[in-house]
Amino acid sequence: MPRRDVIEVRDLWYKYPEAKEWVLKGINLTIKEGDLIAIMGENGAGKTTLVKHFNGILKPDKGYVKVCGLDTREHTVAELAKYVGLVFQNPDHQIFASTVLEETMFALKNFGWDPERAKRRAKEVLKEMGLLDYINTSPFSLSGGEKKRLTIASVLVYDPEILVLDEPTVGQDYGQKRRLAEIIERINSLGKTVIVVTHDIEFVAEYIEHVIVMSRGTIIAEGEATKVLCDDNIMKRARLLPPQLGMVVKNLEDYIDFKGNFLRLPVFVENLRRWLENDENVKGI
Amino acid sequence: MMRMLRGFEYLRGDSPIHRLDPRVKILYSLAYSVLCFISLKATFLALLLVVNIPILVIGKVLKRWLNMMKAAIPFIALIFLFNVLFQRFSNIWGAVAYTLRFIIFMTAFAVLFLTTTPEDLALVMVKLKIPYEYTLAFTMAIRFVPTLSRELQIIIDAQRSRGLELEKGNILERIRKYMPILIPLIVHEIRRSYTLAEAMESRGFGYTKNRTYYYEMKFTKKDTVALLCIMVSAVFLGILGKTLLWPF
Repeated sequence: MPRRDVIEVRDLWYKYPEAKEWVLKGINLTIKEGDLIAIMGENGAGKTTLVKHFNGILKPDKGYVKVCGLDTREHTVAELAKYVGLVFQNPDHQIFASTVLEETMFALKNFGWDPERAKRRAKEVLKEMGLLDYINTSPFSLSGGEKKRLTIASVLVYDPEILVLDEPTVGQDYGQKRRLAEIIERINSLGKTVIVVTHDIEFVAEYIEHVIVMSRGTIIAEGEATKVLCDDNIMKRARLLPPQLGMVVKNLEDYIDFKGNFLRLPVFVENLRRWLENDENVKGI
Repeated sequence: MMRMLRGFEYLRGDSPIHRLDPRVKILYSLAYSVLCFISLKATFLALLLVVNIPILVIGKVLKRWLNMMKAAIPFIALIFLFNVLFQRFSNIWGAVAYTLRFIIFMTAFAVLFLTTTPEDLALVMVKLKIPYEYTLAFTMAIRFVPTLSRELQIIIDAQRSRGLELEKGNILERIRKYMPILIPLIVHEIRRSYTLAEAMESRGFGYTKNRTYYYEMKFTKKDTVALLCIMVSAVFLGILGKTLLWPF
């Protein structure tokens, strides 16, 4: 069965009020149900501005954005938010409640859920995020990683079809990043569309296979991470450093023909092992 | 509210008014604030407002002043409405006069704030023997207005993304809806002020008792001329306001 388009962006132009320059210059993009996509690019490339169009916080100056078939120009943010859960970069920009449970229930209250049902649902999500022990503590006392998971929980709680994470890895240590990746993979495996905005190239290389690269308000490349992230030309234009395994593969490409998603360490090692097992290859060195 | 505040934000510019000594401009703002209180005749106050406009034009800030006024329309309307409702005027001119008084007051200080860098204002405060800590608090308050308004927008966006609808409900409900916006803003700003204080102290803030300044204010001939012009015109307008029989 063909997957339906959940986000459709056509010739999107946008500039901030009172600004002279266009921030987005003719973006065209289709995202399908169940996709796991990274949107990458340098600071100021327009990544965050683009995703703010997905739930109607920003409305196009030219062109249109359709989310699950709804034109964002004709619907309020609250209506679109039911389909698109947008998790902002800095948890401190949204945490306000006196307990973790209340913080998680905020969206459900706004959407008019029955309090008992909302409580049950919030606890369910907090359990998934490993925050069940904290339900009665103040969200302000959580660690950075816990705060991040709380903000994700506070969006996942109403079960949006599309989850957008803006720079989720900023300020997170390795363990927290791994946890984030597990959460992202789990949500995606449930058939949800997940869009990760980031310039954390190693994180993308390890966990995300489909990449969109933006530079100065346009999309300059889209495709498999192994192709896009290892293309020097694209990376230079986007001012990104290619992933380390990508550079290693590039330097070895005369000898070894890497297959699969070699940006993932297990796949890379498997490729290397297969090559080393062949005596012919080893003799040649 | 934020738009009106941003109206007072200094944007770099250059004009004869920008180059005037800040003390002259402060005197100008004070003179007009006093002038608008000596009479409650709408026609006189209208004249005061008109006199200000060439200054705004020379200072190249007329458009920004208009934007500021546009943002202040709710306040202006409120002042007008309250005066019509609660004052015992025989006609509407009293309410008009009170409204004009507010506009002139704002305009007089707009000339000062739109054409003077916060640093210059701080220098004046130092000259007035105000402790440097207070002066610094003042310049920082101005400096952080744009940052604050940007942050406020992000917080509003973040909460709207979770289904918060600010435009729905009666007045009380709407005020309550601002809690999820004000709490993160206040917490965030308090944290920032601590970080800022630490960063400044680690760079030696408060080490010397007697600060020196990179820029020194100098009173030039132009400033003297401007000062005289302001004094003469203010006295003239003052006498005019007190003696002439203004119709309304």
